[in-house]
Amino acid sequence: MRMLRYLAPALLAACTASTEPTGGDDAPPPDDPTVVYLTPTQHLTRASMALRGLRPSIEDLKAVDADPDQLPAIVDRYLASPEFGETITELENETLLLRIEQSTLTFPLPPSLPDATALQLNEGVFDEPLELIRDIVMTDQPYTKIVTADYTMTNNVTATIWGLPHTGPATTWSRAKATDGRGAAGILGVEALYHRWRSTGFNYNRGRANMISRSLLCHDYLHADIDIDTSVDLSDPDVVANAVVANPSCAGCHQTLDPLASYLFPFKGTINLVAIQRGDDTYPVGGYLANQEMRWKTTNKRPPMFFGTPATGLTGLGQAIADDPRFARCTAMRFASYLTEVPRDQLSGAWVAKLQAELVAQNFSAKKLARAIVLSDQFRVSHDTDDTLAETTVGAQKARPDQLERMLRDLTGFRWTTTTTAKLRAIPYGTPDLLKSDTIGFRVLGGGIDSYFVTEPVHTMNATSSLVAKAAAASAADFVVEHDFTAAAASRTLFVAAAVTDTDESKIRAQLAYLHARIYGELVAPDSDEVTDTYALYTDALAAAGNPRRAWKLTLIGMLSDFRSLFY
Amino acid sequence: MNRRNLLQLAGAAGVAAMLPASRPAAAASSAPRRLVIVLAQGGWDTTWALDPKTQSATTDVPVGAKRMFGNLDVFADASRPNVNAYFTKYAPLTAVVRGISVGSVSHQECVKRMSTGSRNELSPDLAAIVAHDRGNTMPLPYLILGDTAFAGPYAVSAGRVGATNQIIALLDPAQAYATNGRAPIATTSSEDALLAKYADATVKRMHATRGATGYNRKRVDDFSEAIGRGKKLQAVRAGFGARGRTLTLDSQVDLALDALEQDISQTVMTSTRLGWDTHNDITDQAGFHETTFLGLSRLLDGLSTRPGRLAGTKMIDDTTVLVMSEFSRTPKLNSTGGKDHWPVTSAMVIGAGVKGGRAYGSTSNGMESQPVDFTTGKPSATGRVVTSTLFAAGVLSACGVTPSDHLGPTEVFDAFVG
Repeated sequence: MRMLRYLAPALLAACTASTEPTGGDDAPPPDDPTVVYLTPTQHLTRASMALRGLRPSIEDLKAVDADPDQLPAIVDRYLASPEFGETITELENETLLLRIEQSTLTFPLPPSLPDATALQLNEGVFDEPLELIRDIVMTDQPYTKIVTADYTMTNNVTATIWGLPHTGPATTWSRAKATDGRGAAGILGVEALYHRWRSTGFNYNRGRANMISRSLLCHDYLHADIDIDTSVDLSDPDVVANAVVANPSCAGCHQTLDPLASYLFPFKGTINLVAIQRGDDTYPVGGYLANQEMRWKTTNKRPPMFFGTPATGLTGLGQAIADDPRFARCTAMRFASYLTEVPRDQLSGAWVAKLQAELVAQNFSAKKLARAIVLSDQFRVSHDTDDTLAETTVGAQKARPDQLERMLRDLTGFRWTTTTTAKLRAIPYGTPDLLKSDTIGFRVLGGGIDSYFVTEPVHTMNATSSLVAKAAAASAADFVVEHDFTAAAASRTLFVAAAVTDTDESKIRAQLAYLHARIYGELVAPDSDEVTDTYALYTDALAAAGNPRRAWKLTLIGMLSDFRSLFY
Repeated sequence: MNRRNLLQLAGAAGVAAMLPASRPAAAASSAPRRLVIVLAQGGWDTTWALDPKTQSATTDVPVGAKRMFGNLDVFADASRPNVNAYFTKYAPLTAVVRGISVGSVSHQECVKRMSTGSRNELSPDLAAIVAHDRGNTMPLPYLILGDTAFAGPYAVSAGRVGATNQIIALLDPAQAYATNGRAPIATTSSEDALLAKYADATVKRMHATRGATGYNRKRVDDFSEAIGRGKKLQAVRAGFGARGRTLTLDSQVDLALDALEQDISQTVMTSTRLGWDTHNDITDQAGFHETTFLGLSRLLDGLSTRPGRLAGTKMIDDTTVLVMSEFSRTPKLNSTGGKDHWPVTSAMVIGAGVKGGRAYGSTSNGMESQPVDFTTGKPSATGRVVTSTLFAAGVLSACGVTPSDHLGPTEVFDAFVG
């Protein structure tokens, strides 16, 4: 690697910690005789869920069913949708781990925002890097801009807390530029990143540097073993500073880690939120202090450097990361893993290499990378008839809680929210989407991450995620049936082939066939076995309740919490 | 080598060929032991109790002195009465394992290594393994009350209660969340039977098509199994208390005891929820030790008085308790009066399957791991260092699980297992 030319091979060997794909050059093999692919409409459904968290429209299903070559154009439309922007923020959050709900990291209520909720404050702070990436991806700027952009994104909370400009409606994110000379470094210049990833004591930004290396280069120093030389007096910063340079058991990692950390001294190690709460400190918070740029001289004593290559300031760091081949490779791996639910170390090395090359050739277009992934054979694998290969063939992807929330909202018009008296740092919590909240909601219980303690999603069902799915389905079913019961025919959300009160079998079956298409992405006939199963649920429920509305609610609970709804 | 070759090799001969020439793991017990893990996340300072040292040029210790509780030496002081009270009562049940080498000083990495015995965040932790192997028919085999846990491939057997015990909102219709002032609809048992029948039809169809084998089959089976587990949980919802409950260690202990006694769960992960990461003031460790040992006494009191599974026994007779922190703290104070991260730690294993009343392994005056005789657990110049993996294997063995089934070919530090 070009960037590593200054380092002794032994040092690199001592600290190799990348998450490299080990799936083999042909895994999963596109020409594997035992692999079975999704049908075109199933492929469309998976692409729609992976890119948007939405089920495909019936029009799109029919178009692909009639002509599978329509799929690429539909995918292009998906990539331009705002829901793909949501997906990008969720994908990036699984790496950067920003969307946290911790009292200790929630900013005190700014006097100028007396009505802000804890949810709004945390979103305004922790979503800033995610919003910047979303903006870069959705405007199809090169993905390298996430570390080289000369602007950030703000809403009223972000602007108030950090003292950044903001234009437009208060809660709308818009582009803004810092005026303190921190450089053009995209998310690397965002204080929120360093508020989430604090640096305490004598750590001197090492944890932050590893976060950057892990997230953007897929090089995680923590995967390496350490064998501390206990003759080193770790209580003496000067001794430690010397050991990380001269002691072989330390230098293997610190030779590159510490110079990377030295770029980050302008960012406060921790922001004293208690002082703000007490009134000893005020908004805006000075999270970036340009005059601290040279603090490495008195602390770790390692001049800023990127894996042995000089690079000046945050701007230089961002450009060095963008130029590093590992950045493109890591981006390809992260996107491929997220969109397929295949663990990174099980991805096909050959496929990752191909995606990496395409990403670079396409001027780092993240949209084109996502397009290449969802149109690939690797993405459209259904299952493998070879029992051994089937063990690692991910042919059923589970909807993450964020996707489930969007899917239910799109299908039924229902938002699963509630009011609460809960507080974070004595600030009213706000009105959460229950599938997106940790404090009172079910994000983690449903298999998602809280980005703090739970950092890996669960791609299968368990007792709590099953209960969450059923509870969400029940509320959504109740909502849409009641809505469509009273709405005019043209204004109904789901009941397009029958009214809620209809009991005629042909109408019910037609309505169920519509629901199979809408919810499962299945184009099946009203007299198909699939619809017959669902019709049995409806008629049994009707017989038990004697009430069509109740029967439809039960039918929809069954459908919305079915395997075909929760997986794709 | 392609993926097919690799998998076939591993499946056929790879595991046997890679077994090290070492003493075999202890045979798994037939007793379906329960496991409670208490995680002191953040990094405790073992010089405050578990690993007594004397003040020296290499080590700073708090006020106090080594005190013997039977054959178990503990660093104690009158200013820490809860520590004294715990060991006075429960030292005979308690094995202290010292000098566990974790090999890292990163919180997240070390929690993973100590919890799972591996370096892979997708591996299950010890409680997930024991739950899966020894109690998988229970409603919620692995109950996660603390913050950090690794369910891995056994996720279907695990469940969290949430930051404010919001699991009860899913179990008890009376405590469910309203949306727009409208209470969610609750289904009757006969309606649930209809829903189950419908889900079962889907499962059968998936088994016949995309979900016949492998990864897909597991997802389909998990889907089906999870529905059943959810129903079982709803049937025992009284054990979960009220929504909004703040889960301190004491309240986690109470929930854990109830869940274990009622056979809702086989294993429980708890957290002390204390700020052990004392970089700036090591004296905070005093209060944290007090709170933790008070909670441990509460746990052991409950286990010692509530009935066990067999007539005439108590829960402690079939429950193992593991108390651990991901690493320890540097021997010397730093310039701010705190201590930083140290890759060697100590842990306590208590109760069933444990030869308590003494310490195993040791550290040097400079807090380095010392080689240990794996049979006696005593320091030995010809012994080997106890790593987090070998220690984890020993805990599994104490719980009646065959370690190699989950950790692969490994030695087992099981000197404390009895």
